[in-house]
Amino acid sequence: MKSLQGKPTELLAILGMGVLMLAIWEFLPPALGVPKYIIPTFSDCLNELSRMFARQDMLGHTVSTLISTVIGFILGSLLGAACGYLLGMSPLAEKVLSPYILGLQIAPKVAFAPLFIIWFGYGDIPKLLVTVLIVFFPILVNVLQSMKTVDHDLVNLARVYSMNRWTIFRKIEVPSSLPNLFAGLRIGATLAVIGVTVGEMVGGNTGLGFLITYGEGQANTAMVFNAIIFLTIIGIALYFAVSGVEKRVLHYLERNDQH
Amino acid sequence: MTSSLDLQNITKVFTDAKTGSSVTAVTDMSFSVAPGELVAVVGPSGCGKSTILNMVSGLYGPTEGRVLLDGKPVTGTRPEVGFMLQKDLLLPWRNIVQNVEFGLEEKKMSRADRRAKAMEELTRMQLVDFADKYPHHLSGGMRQRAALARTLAIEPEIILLDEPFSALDAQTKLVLQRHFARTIAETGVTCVLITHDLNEAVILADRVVVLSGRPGRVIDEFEIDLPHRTDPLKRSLEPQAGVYVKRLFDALHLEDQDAA
Repeated sequence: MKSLQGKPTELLAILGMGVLMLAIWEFLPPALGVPKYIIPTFSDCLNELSRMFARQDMLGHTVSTLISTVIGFILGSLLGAACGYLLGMSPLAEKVLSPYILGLQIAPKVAFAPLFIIWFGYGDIPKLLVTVLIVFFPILVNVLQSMKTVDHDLVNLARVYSMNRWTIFRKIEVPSSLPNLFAGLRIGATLAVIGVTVGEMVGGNTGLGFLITYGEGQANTAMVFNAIIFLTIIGIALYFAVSGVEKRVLHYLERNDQH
Repeated sequence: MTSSLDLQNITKVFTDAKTGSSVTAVTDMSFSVAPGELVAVVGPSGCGKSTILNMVSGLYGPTEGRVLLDGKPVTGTRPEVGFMLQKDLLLPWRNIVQNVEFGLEEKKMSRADRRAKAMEELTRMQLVDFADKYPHHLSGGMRQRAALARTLAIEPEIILLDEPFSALDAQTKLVLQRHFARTIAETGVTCVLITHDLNEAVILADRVVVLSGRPGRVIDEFEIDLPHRTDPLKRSLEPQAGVYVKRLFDALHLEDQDAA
Protein backbone atom coordinates (compact mmCIF):
# COMPACT_ATOMS: atom_id res chain seq x y z
CA MET A 1 0.00 0.00 0.00
CA LYS A 2 2.74 2.35 1.01
CA SER A 3 4.81 1.64 -2.08
CA LEU A 4 1.81 2.39 -4.32
CA GLN A 5 1.80 5.93 -2.96
CA GLY A 6 5.55 6.21 -3.45
CA LYS A 7 7.60 7.63 -6.25
CA PRO A 8 6.34 7.35 -9.84
CA THR A 9 9.33 5.19 -10.77
CA GLU A 10 8.35 2.65 -8.14
CA LEU A 11 4.79 2.62 -9.45
CA LEU A 12 6.11 2.15 -12.96
CA ALA A 13 8.28 -0.78 -11.84
CA ILE A 14 5.32 -2.43 -10.13
CA LEU A 15 3.14 -2.04 -13.23
CA GLY A 16 5.99 -3.24 -15.43
CA MET A 17 6.35 -6.35 -13.31
CA GLY A 18 2.63 -7.05 -13.73
CA VAL A 19 2.78 -6.68 -17.49
CA LEU A 20 5.82 -8.96 -17.62
CA MET A 21 4.07 -11.68 -15.61
CA LEU A 22 0.96 -11.46 -17.80
CA ALA A 23 3.14 -11.76 -20.87
CA ILE A 24 4.87 -14.86 -19.50
CA TRP A 25 1.47 -16.34 -18.66
CA GLU A 26 0.19 -15.59 -22.13
CA PHE A 27 3.14 -16.81 -24.22
CA LEU A 28 5.20 -19.30 -22.20
CA PRO A 29 2.72 -22.23 -21.82
CA PRO A 30 1.85 -22.41 -25.58
CA ALA A 31 5.55 -22.11 -26.45
CA LEU A 32 6.28 -25.11 -24.20
CA GLY A 33 3.33 -26.99 -25.67
CA VAL A 34 1.31 -27.07 -22.42
CA PRO A 35 -2.35 -27.80 -23.31
CA LYS A 36 -5.18 -25.40 -22.45
CA TYR A 37 -6.83 -27.74 -19.96
CA ILE A 38 -3.62 -27.74 -17.89
CA ILE A 39 -2.74 -24.03 -18.06
CA PRO A 40 -5.11 -21.77 -19.99
CA THR A 41 -3.44 -18.55 -21.17
CA PHE A 42 -4.39 -15.06 -20.02
CA SER A 43 -6.52 -14.48 -23.12
CA ASP A 44 -8.21 -17.88 -22.70
CA CYS A 45 -9.19 -16.85 -19.21
CA LEU A 46 -10.50 -13.48 -20.41
CA ASN A 47 -12.61 -15.19 -23.09
CA GLU A 48 -13.94 -17.68 -20.56
CA LEU A 49 -14.65 -14.81 -18.16
CA SER A 50 -16.85 -12.96 -20.65
CA ARG A 51 -18.63 -16.24 -21.40
CA MET A 52 -19.12 -16.79 -17.65
CA PHE A 53 -20.63 -13.33 -17.23
CA ALA A 54 -22.95 -13.90 -20.20
CA ARG A 55 -23.99 -17.52 -19.62
CA GLN A 56 -22.95 -18.65 -16.16
CA ASP A 57 -24.27 -15.76 -14.01
CA MET A 58 -20.73 -14.89 -12.89
CA LEU A 59 -22.03 -11.62 -11.40
CA GLY A 60 -24.59 -13.47 -9.28
CA HIS A 61 -22.01 -15.98 -8.01
CA THR A 62 -19.53 -13.22 -7.19
CA VAL A 63 -22.12 -11.15 -5.34
CA SER A 64 -23.28 -14.25 -3.44
CA THR A 65 -19.73 -15.05 -2.31
CA LEU A 66 -19.07 -11.41 -1.45
CA ILE A 67 -22.20 -11.19 0.71
CA SER A 68 -21.46 -14.49 2.48
CA THR A 69 -17.90 -13.36 3.14
CA VAL A 70 -18.94 -10.01 4.57
CA ILE A 71 -21.75 -11.44 6.71
CA GLY A 72 -19.56 -14.30 7.97
CA PHE A 73 -16.74 -11.88 8.71
CA ILE A 74 -18.98 -9.47 10.62
CA LEU A 75 -20.69 -12.21 12.65
CA GLY A 76 -17.40 -13.96 13.40
CA SER A 77 -15.78 -10.67 14.41
CA LEU A 78 -18.62 -9.65 16.70
CA LEU A 79 -18.69 -13.04 18.35
CA GLY A 80 -14.90 -13.26 18.65
CA ALA A 81 -14.59 -9.75 20.08
CA ALA A 82 -17.49 -10.30 22.51
CA CYS A 83 -15.99 -13.54 23.82
CA GLY A 84 -12.53 -11.95 23.98
CA TYR A 85 -13.80 -9.09 26.13
CA LEU A 86 -15.86 -11.38 28.35
CA LEU A 87 -12.96 -13.76 28.96
CA GLY A 88 -10.67 -10.78 29.46
CA MET A 89 -12.90 -9.48 32.24
CA SER A 90 -13.06 -12.84 33.99
CA PRO A 91 -9.64 -14.36 34.72
CA LEU A 92 -11.33 -17.45 36.18
CA ALA A 93 -13.33 -18.19 33.03
CA GLU A 94 -10.23 -17.59 30.99
CA LYS A 95 -8.22 -20.11 33.03
CA VAL A 96 -10.94 -22.75 32.83
CA LEU A 97 -11.64 -22.30 29.13
CA SER A 98 -8.22 -21.55 27.67
CA PRO A 99 -7.12 -25.19 27.08
CA TYR A 100 -10.35 -25.83 25.17
CA ILE A 101 -10.01 -22.63 23.22
CA LEU A 102 -6.47 -23.61 22.32
CA GLY A 103 -7.69 -27.01 21.16
CA LEU A 104 -10.46 -25.54 19.02
CA GLN A 105 -8.08 -22.95 17.66
CA ILE A 106 -5.70 -25.64 16.44
CA ALA A 107 -8.46 -27.84 14.97
CA PRO A 108 -8.68 -27.22 11.20
CA LYS A 109 -11.93 -25.27 10.96
CA VAL A 110 -12.54 -26.01 7.29
CA ALA A 111 -12.78 -29.73 8.19
CA PHE A 112 -16.05 -28.89 9.96
CA ALA A 113 -17.73 -27.97 6.65
CA PRO A 114 -19.03 -31.49 5.85
CA LEU A 115 -20.36 -31.78 9.41
CA PHE A 116 -22.29 -28.53 9.08
CA ILE A 117 -23.80 -29.79 5.84
CA ILE A 118 -24.91 -33.00 7.55
CA TRP A 119 -26.51 -30.91 10.28
CA PHE A 120 -27.94 -28.00 8.34
CA GLY A 121 -28.28 -29.20 4.76
CA TYR A 122 -27.23 -27.55 1.49
CA GLY A 123 -28.01 -23.94 2.25
CA ASP A 124 -26.29 -20.76 3.28
CA ILE A 125 -25.92 -21.77 6.90
CA PRO A 126 -23.00 -24.25 6.60
CA LYS A 127 -20.74 -21.86 4.69
CA LEU A 128 -21.60 -19.00 7.07
CA LEU A 129 -20.83 -21.23 10.05
CA VAL A 130 -17.43 -22.24 8.64
CA THR A 131 -16.64 -18.59 8.01
CA VAL A 132 -17.77 -17.47 11.46
CA LEU A 133 -15.71 -20.22 13.07
CA ILE A 134 -12.57 -19.46 11.10
CA VAL A 135 -12.82 -15.68 11.71
CA PHE A 136 -13.72 -16.09 15.37
CA PHE A 137 -10.41 -17.33 16.83
CA PRO A 138 -7.79 -14.85 15.67
CA ILE A 139 -10.04 -12.04 16.89
CA LEU A 140 -10.81 -13.71 20.19
CA VAL A 141 -7.12 -14.39 20.85
CA ASN A 142 -6.04 -10.87 19.92
CA VAL A 143 -8.69 -9.18 22.05
CA LEU A 144 -8.00 -11.48 25.00
CA GLN A 145 -4.28 -10.77 24.73
CA SER A 146 -4.89 -7.02 24.74
CA MET A 147 -7.18 -7.26 27.77
CA LYS A 148 -4.42 -9.02 29.66
CA THR A 149 -1.83 -6.38 28.79
CA VAL A 150 -3.81 -3.21 29.57
CA ASP A 151 -1.57 -0.73 31.41
CA HIS A 152 -2.38 -1.31 35.07
CA ASP A 153 -1.45 2.25 35.99
CA LEU A 154 -4.12 3.56 33.61
CA VAL A 155 -6.69 1.36 35.35
CA ASN A 156 -5.50 2.63 38.74
CA LEU A 157 -5.77 6.20 37.50
CA ALA A 158 -9.36 5.56 36.50
CA ARG A 159 -10.01 3.92 39.88
CA VAL A 160 -8.58 6.94 41.70
CA TYR A 161 -11.05 9.02 39.66
CA SER A 162 -13.77 6.77 41.16
CA MET A 163 -14.71 5.12 37.89
CA ASN A 164 -16.60 1.83 38.19
CA ARG A 165 -15.77 -1.45 36.44
CA TRP A 166 -18.00 -0.77 33.45
CA THR A 167 -16.66 2.76 32.96
CA ILE A 168 -13.07 1.50 33.17
CA PHE A 169 -13.94 -1.12 30.56
CA ARG A 170 -15.46 1.49 28.24
CA LYS A 171 -12.95 4.26 28.73
CA ILE A 172 -9.67 2.38 29.26
CA GLU A 173 -9.82 -1.26 28.27
CA VAL A 174 -11.76 -1.06 25.01
CA PRO A 175 -9.74 1.83 23.55
CA SER A 176 -6.49 0.14 24.68
CA SER A 177 -7.49 -3.05 22.89
CA LEU A 178 -8.34 -1.44 19.54
CA PRO A 179 -4.90 -1.89 17.91
CA ASN A 180 -5.00 -5.60 18.78
CA LEU A 181 -8.63 -5.91 17.70
CA PHE A 182 -7.77 -4.48 14.30
CA ALA A 183 -4.78 -6.79 13.94
CA GLY A 184 -7.23 -9.66 14.51
CA LEU A 185 -9.75 -8.18 12.07
CA ARG A 186 -7.13 -7.93 9.34
CA ILE A 187 -6.25 -11.61 9.80
CA GLY A 188 -9.96 -12.47 9.95
CA ALA A 189 -10.65 -10.59 6.71
CA THR A 190 -8.25 -12.81 4.77
CA LEU A 191 -9.48 -15.98 6.48
CA ALA A 192 -13.15 -15.19 5.81
CA VAL A 193 -12.66 -15.83 2.08
CA ILE A 194 -11.17 -19.24 2.84
CA GLY A 195 -14.16 -20.16 5.01
CA VAL A 196 -16.71 -19.18 2.39
CA THR A 197 -14.78 -20.88 -0.42
CA VAL A 198 -14.57 -24.17 1.44
CA GLY A 199 -18.23 -23.97 2.38
CA GLU A 200 -19.22 -23.39 -1.24
CA MET A 201 -16.93 -26.09 -2.56
CA VAL A 202 -18.26 -28.74 -0.21
CA GLY A 203 -21.94 -28.04 -0.66
CA GLY A 204 -24.36 -25.80 -2.49
CA ASN A 205 -24.77 -24.54 -6.00
CA THR A 206 -23.92 -20.88 -5.72
CA GLY A 207 -20.79 -18.82 -5.30
CA LEU A 208 -17.28 -18.81 -6.64
CA GLY A 209 -16.34 -21.87 -4.59
CA PHE A 210 -19.10 -23.79 -6.36
CA LEU A 211 -17.76 -22.58 -9.73
CA ILE A 212 -14.37 -24.05 -8.82
CA THR A 213 -15.79 -27.56 -8.26
CA TYR A 214 -18.12 -27.14 -11.27
CA GLY A 215 -15.25 -26.04 -13.50
CA GLU A 216 -13.17 -28.92 -12.22
CA GLY A 217 -15.91 -31.41 -13.15
CA GLN A 218 -16.04 -29.99 -16.67
CA ALA A 219 -12.24 -29.87 -17.01
CA ASN A 220 -12.79 -26.12 -17.57
CA THR A 221 -9.48 -24.93 -16.11
CA ALA A 222 -10.02 -21.32 -17.20
CA MET A 223 -13.21 -21.22 -15.11
CA VAL A 224 -11.28 -22.44 -12.05
CA PHE A 225 -8.59 -19.80 -12.67
CA ASN A 226 -11.20 -17.05 -12.97
CA ALA A 227 -13.00 -18.10 -9.81
CA ILE A 228 -9.71 -18.12 -7.87
CA ILE A 229 -8.82 -14.66 -9.18
CA PHE A 230 -12.20 -13.25 -8.18
CA LEU A 231 -11.95 -14.82 -4.72
CA THR A 232 -8.57 -13.19 -4.32
CA ILE A 233 -10.00 -9.83 -5.36
CA ILE A 234 -12.77 -10.17 -2.75
CA GLY A 235 -10.16 -11.00 -0.10
CA ILE A 236 -8.00 -8.03 -1.03
CA ALA A 237 -11.01 -5.68 -1.07
CA LEU A 238 -12.09 -6.83 2.40
CA TYR A 239 -8.56 -6.51 3.75
CA PHE A 240 -8.16 -2.97 2.49
CA ALA A 241 -11.64 -2.03 3.70
CA VAL A 242 -10.63 -3.17 7.20
CA SER A 243 -7.26 -1.45 7.15
CA GLY A 244 -8.94 1.71 5.82
CA VAL A 245 -11.28 1.73 8.82
CA GLU A 246 -8.30 0.96 11.05
CA LYS A 247 -6.37 3.97 9.76
CA ARG A 248 -9.32 6.23 10.57
CA VAL A 249 -10.05 4.78 13.98
CA LEU A 250 -6.41 4.52 15.09
CA HIS A 251 -5.36 7.87 13.62
CA TYR A 252 -3.82 8.84 16.95
CA LEU A 253 -1.12 6.19 16.80
CA GLU A 254 2.37 7.13 15.75
CA ARG A 255 3.08 5.57 12.41
CA ASN A 256 6.53 4.98 11.06
CA ASP A 257 5.54 5.74 7.49
CA GLN A 258 4.55 9.29 8.41
CA HIS A 259 8.12 10.32 9.08
CA MET B 1 -9.65 23.41 50.21
CA THR B 2 -6.60 21.40 51.18
CA SER B 3 -6.25 18.38 53.40
CA SER B 4 -3.94 17.12 56.08
CA LEU B 5 -2.56 13.63 55.85
CA ASP B 6 -1.69 11.36 58.75
CA LEU B 7 0.02 8.00 58.52
CA GLN B 8 -0.17 6.22 61.88
CA ASN B 9 2.01 3.16 62.50
CA ILE B 10 1.51 1.78 59.02
CA THR B 11 2.64 -1.75 58.22
CA LYS B 12 1.99 -3.30 54.84
CA VAL B 13 2.65 -6.96 54.13
CA PHE B 14 2.21 -8.38 50.63
CA THR B 15 1.54 -12.10 50.42
CA ASP B 16 2.15 -13.93 47.19
CA ALA B 17 -1.04 -15.85 46.41
CA LYS B 18 0.85 -18.68 44.67
CA THR B 19 3.91 -19.28 46.86
CA GLY B 20 2.47 -18.04 50.13
CA SER B 21 5.66 -16.14 50.86
CA SER B 22 5.19 -12.64 52.18
CA VAL B 23 7.12 -9.42 51.84
CA THR B 24 6.92 -6.56 54.31
CA ALA B 25 7.02 -3.36 52.27
CA VAL B 26 6.77 -0.84 55.08
CA THR B 27 6.80 -1.34 58.82
CA ASP B 28 5.53 0.83 61.66
CA MET B 29 5.74 3.97 59.60
CA SER B 30 4.36 7.26 60.85
CA PHE B 31 4.52 10.76 59.45
CA SER B 32 2.10 13.53 58.73
CA VAL B 33 1.62 16.29 56.21
CA ALA B 34 -0.01 19.60 57.17
CA PRO B 35 -2.56 21.32 54.89
CA GLY B 36 -0.77 23.11 52.05
CA GLU B 37 2.54 21.51 52.88
CA LEU B 38 4.78 19.82 50.32
CA VAL B 39 6.54 16.84 51.87
CA ALA B 40 9.17 14.91 49.94
CA VAL B 41 9.65 11.22 50.72
CA VAL B 42 13.09 9.89 49.83
CA GLY B 43 14.63 6.48 50.28
CA PRO B 44 16.48 3.67 48.57
CA SER B 45 14.64 1.66 45.93
CA GLY B 46 12.32 -0.94 47.40
CA CYS B 47 11.60 1.10 50.52
CA GLY B 48 7.87 1.06 49.85
CA LYS B 49 7.52 4.58 48.48
CA SER B 50 4.92 3.61 45.92
CA THR B 51 3.13 1.47 48.52
CA ILE B 52 2.57 4.62 50.57
CA LEU B 53 1.02 6.43 47.61
CA ASN B 54 -1.27 3.53 46.77
CA MET B 55 -2.48 3.37 50.36
CA VAL B 56 -3.08 7.11 50.57
CA SER B 57 -4.96 7.06 47.25
CA GLY B 58 -7.08 4.21 48.61
CA LEU B 59 -6.14 1.57 46.04
CA TYR B 60 -5.45 -0.78 48.93
CA GLY B 61 -5.36 -0.52 52.71
CA PRO B 62 -2.50 -1.04 55.18
CA THR B 63 -2.11 -4.38 56.96
CA GLU B 64 -1.79 -2.54 60.26
CA GLY B 65 -2.13 1.10 61.24
CA ARG B 66 -4.28 3.87 59.84
CA VAL B 67 -4.16 6.35 57.00
CA LEU B 68 -6.09 9.49 57.85
CA LEU B 69 -7.09 12.28 55.49
CA ASP B 70 -8.39 15.28 57.44
CA GLY B 71 -8.68 12.97 60.43
CA LYS B 72 -10.92 10.48 58.61
CA PRO B 73 -9.64 7.00 57.73
CA VAL B 74 -9.13 6.29 54.03
CA THR B 75 -11.36 3.35 53.07
CA GLY B 76 -11.35 3.53 49.29
CA THR B 77 -10.51 5.75 46.35
CA ARG B 78 -11.79 9.30 46.67
CA PRO B 79 -12.30 11.98 44.05
CA GLU B 80 -10.34 14.55 46.10
CA VAL B 81 -7.04 12.78 45.56
CA GLY B 82 -4.80 13.69 42.61
CA PHE B 83 -2.28 11.21 41.31
CA MET B 84 0.77 11.70 39.10
CA LEU B 85 3.41 9.16 38.12
CA GLN B 86 6.67 9.06 36.23
CA LYS B 87 4.57 7.96 33.25
CA ASP B 88 2.26 10.76 32.13
CA LEU B 89 -0.66 8.28 31.80
CA LEU B 90 -2.21 10.35 29.04
CA LEU B 91 -4.68 8.33 27.00
CA PRO B 92 -3.23 8.17 23.48
CA TRP B 93 -6.69 7.98 21.87
CA ARG B 94 -7.79 11.29 23.38
CA ASN B 95 -6.51 14.70 22.47
CA ILE B 96 -5.01 16.89 25.18
CA VAL B 97 -8.16 18.71 26.26
CA GLN B 98 -10.11 15.43 26.36
CA ASN B 99 -7.33 13.98 28.50
CA VAL B 100 -7.63 16.86 30.95
CA GLU B 101 -11.40 16.30 31.04
CA PHE B 102 -10.92 12.62 31.86
CA GLY B 103 -10.87 13.07 35.64
CA LEU B 104 -13.90 15.39 35.50
CA GLU B 105 -16.13 12.88 33.78
CA GLU B 106 -17.24 11.23 37.00
CA LYS B 107 -18.29 14.59 38.43
CA LYS B 108 -21.74 15.99 37.99
CA MET B 109 -21.02 18.84 35.63
CA SER B 110 -22.16 19.79 32.16
CA ARG B 111 -20.07 19.14 29.08
CA ALA B 112 -19.54 22.87 28.62
CA ASP B 113 -18.40 23.37 32.22
CA ARG B 114 -16.02 20.47 31.86
CA ARG B 115 -14.52 21.92 28.71
CA ALA B 116 -14.23 25.36 30.34
CA LYS B 117 -12.47 23.92 33.38
CA ALA B 118 -10.08 21.89 31.21
CA MET B 119 -9.23 24.93 29.07
CA GLU B 120 -8.61 26.96 32.22
CA GLU B 121 -6.05 24.39 33.41
CA LEU B 122 -4.44 24.20 29.97
CA THR B 123 -4.12 27.99 30.00
CA ARG B 124 -2.32 27.82 33.31
CA MET B 125 0.00 25.17 31.90
CA GLN B 126 0.53 27.18 28.70
CA LEU B 127 -0.81 24.36 26.60
CA VAL B 128 -3.86 26.02 25.06
CA ASP B 129 -2.38 25.83 21.58
CA PHE B 130 -2.04 22.09 21.95
CA ALA B 131 -5.57 21.41 23.22
CA ASP B 132 -6.61 19.48 20.11
CA LYS B 133 -3.26 17.74 19.57
CA TYR B 134 -2.77 14.10 20.51
CA PRO B 135 -0.23 13.07 23.18
CA HIS B 136 2.29 11.70 20.68
CA HIS B 137 2.58 15.16 19.13
CA LEU B 138 3.89 16.56 22.42
CA SER B 139 7.35 16.47 24.01
CA GLY B 140 7.92 14.66 27.30
CA GLY B 141 7.84 17.89 29.31
CA MET B 142 4.63 19.06 27.66
CA ARG B 143 3.00 15.70 28.25
CA GLN B 144 3.87 15.85 31.92
CA ARG B 145 2.44 19.39 32.07
CA ALA B 146 -0.75 18.07 30.49
CA ALA B 147 -0.80 15.35 33.15
CA LEU B 148 -0.48 18.03 35.84
CA ALA B 149 -3.33 19.97 34.21
CA ARG B 150 -5.46 16.81 34.38
CA THR B 151 -4.49 16.31 38.02
CA LEU B 152 -5.32 19.89 38.99
CA ALA B 153 -8.56 20.03 36.99
CA ILE B 154 -10.36 17.90 39.57
CA GLU B 155 -9.36 20.46 42.22
CA PRO B 156 -7.78 17.84 44.46
CA GLU B 157 -7.25 18.40 48.16
CA ILE B 158 -4.06 16.42 48.07
CA ILE B 159 -1.72 15.49 45.22
CA LEU B 160 0.43 12.37 45.26
CA LEU B 161 3.48 12.58 43.02
CA ASP B 162 5.52 9.47 42.27
CA GLU B 163 8.79 10.61 40.69
CA PRO B 164 7.00 12.78 38.15
CA PHE B 165 10.20 14.38 36.81
CA SER B 166 12.49 11.37 36.68
CA ALA B 167 11.87 10.45 33.04
CA LEU B 168 12.70 13.93 31.76
CA ASP B 169 16.00 15.29 30.48
CA ALA B 170 17.91 17.61 32.84
CA GLN B 171 16.86 20.87 31.19
CA THR B 172 13.19 20.03 30.83
CA LYS B 173 13.23 18.83 34.41
CA LEU B 174 14.44 22.22 35.73
CA VAL B 175 11.84 24.14 33.75
CA LEU B 176 9.04 21.81 34.76
CA GLN B 177 10.03 21.81 38.42
CA ARG B 178 9.76 25.60 38.46
CA HIS B 179 6.48 25.57 36.60
CA PHE B 180 5.26 23.00 39.02
CA ALA B 181 6.44 24.79 42.18
CA ARG B 182 4.63 27.96 41.10
CA THR B 183 1.40 26.17 40.27
CA ILE B 184 1.40 24.23 43.52
CA ALA B 185 2.02 27.42 45.48
CA GLU B 186 -0.81 29.15 43.60
CA THR B 187 -3.34 26.45 44.37
CA GLY B 188 -2.06 25.88 47.91
CA VAL B 189 -2.73 22.17 47.62
CA THR B 190 -1.16 19.57 49.93
CA CYS B 191 1.49 17.44 48.20
CA VAL B 192 3.42 14.26 48.82
CA LEU B 193 6.37 14.00 46.47
CA ILE B 194 8.06 10.62 46.18
CA THR B 195 11.53 10.99 44.72
CA HIS B 196 14.96 9.43 44.67
CA ASP B 197 16.55 12.69 43.54
CA LEU B 198 17.94 14.22 46.77
CA ASN B 199 18.46 17.60 45.16
CA GLU B 200 14.88 17.65 43.90
CA ALA B 201 13.60 16.87 47.39
CA VAL B 202 15.55 19.81 48.86
CA ILE B 203 14.63 22.42 46.25
CA LEU B 204 10.91 21.60 46.08
CA ALA B 205 9.82 20.47 49.53
CA ASP B 206 8.90 22.18 52.80
CA ARG B 207 9.89 19.07 54.69
CA VAL B 208 11.67 15.80 53.90
CA VAL B 209 10.91 12.32 55.24
CA VAL B 210 13.75 9.80 54.83
CA LEU B 211 12.92 6.10 54.65
CA SER B 212 15.16 3.10 55.27
CA GLY B 213 15.55 0.17 52.89
CA ARG B 214 12.95 -2.64 52.92
CA PRO B 215 11.01 -2.90 55.09
CA GLY B 216 10.66 0.85 54.94
CA ARG B 217 10.38 2.96 58.06
CA VAL B 218 11.10 6.61 58.82
CA ILE B 219 14.75 7.14 59.79
CA ASP B 220 14.94 10.94 59.56
CA GLU B 221 12.59 13.85 59.09
CA PHE B 222 13.44 17.56 58.87
CA GLU B 223 12.20 20.94 57.67
CA ILE B 224 13.79 22.61 54.66
CA ASP B 225 14.19 26.21 55.76
CA LEU B 226 15.09 27.88 52.48
CA PRO B 227 13.67 30.91 50.63
CA HIS B 228 12.30 30.90 47.05
CA ARG B 229 9.73 28.16 47.44
CA THR B 230 8.31 29.01 44.03
CA ASP B 231 11.68 29.05 42.28
CA PRO B 232 13.57 25.77 42.74
CA LEU B 233 16.39 26.96 40.50
CA LYS B 234 17.15 29.92 42.76
CA ARG B 235 16.70 27.70 45.77
CA SER B 236 19.30 25.25 44.54
CA LEU B 237 21.84 28.10 44.45
CA GLU B 238 21.37 28.86 48.15
CA PRO B 239 24.50 27.80 50.05
CA GLN B 240 22.35 26.09 52.67
CA ALA B 241 20.78 23.79 50.01
CA GLY B 242 23.99 21.79 49.74
CA VAL B 243 23.98 21.24 53.49
CA TYR B 244 20.49 19.70 53.31
CA VAL B 245 21.49 17.45 50.42
CA LYS B 246 24.52 16.33 52.45
CA ARG B 247 22.27 15.54 55.39
CA LEU B 248 20.08 13.35 53.17
CA PHE B 249 23.19 11.80 51.70
CA ASP B 250 24.39 10.89 55.19
CA ALA B 251 21.00 9.70 56.38
CA LEU B 252 20.85 7.22 53.52
CA HIS B 253 24.47 6.09 54.20
CA LEU B 254 25.30 6.56 50.57
CA GLU B 255 29.04 6.88 51.19
CA ASP B 256 29.09 3.33 52.60
CA GLN B 257 27.69 1.87 49.42
CA ASP B 258 30.23 0.85 46.86
CA ALA B 259 29.46 1.82 43.32
CA ALA B 260 30.63 -1.63 42.28
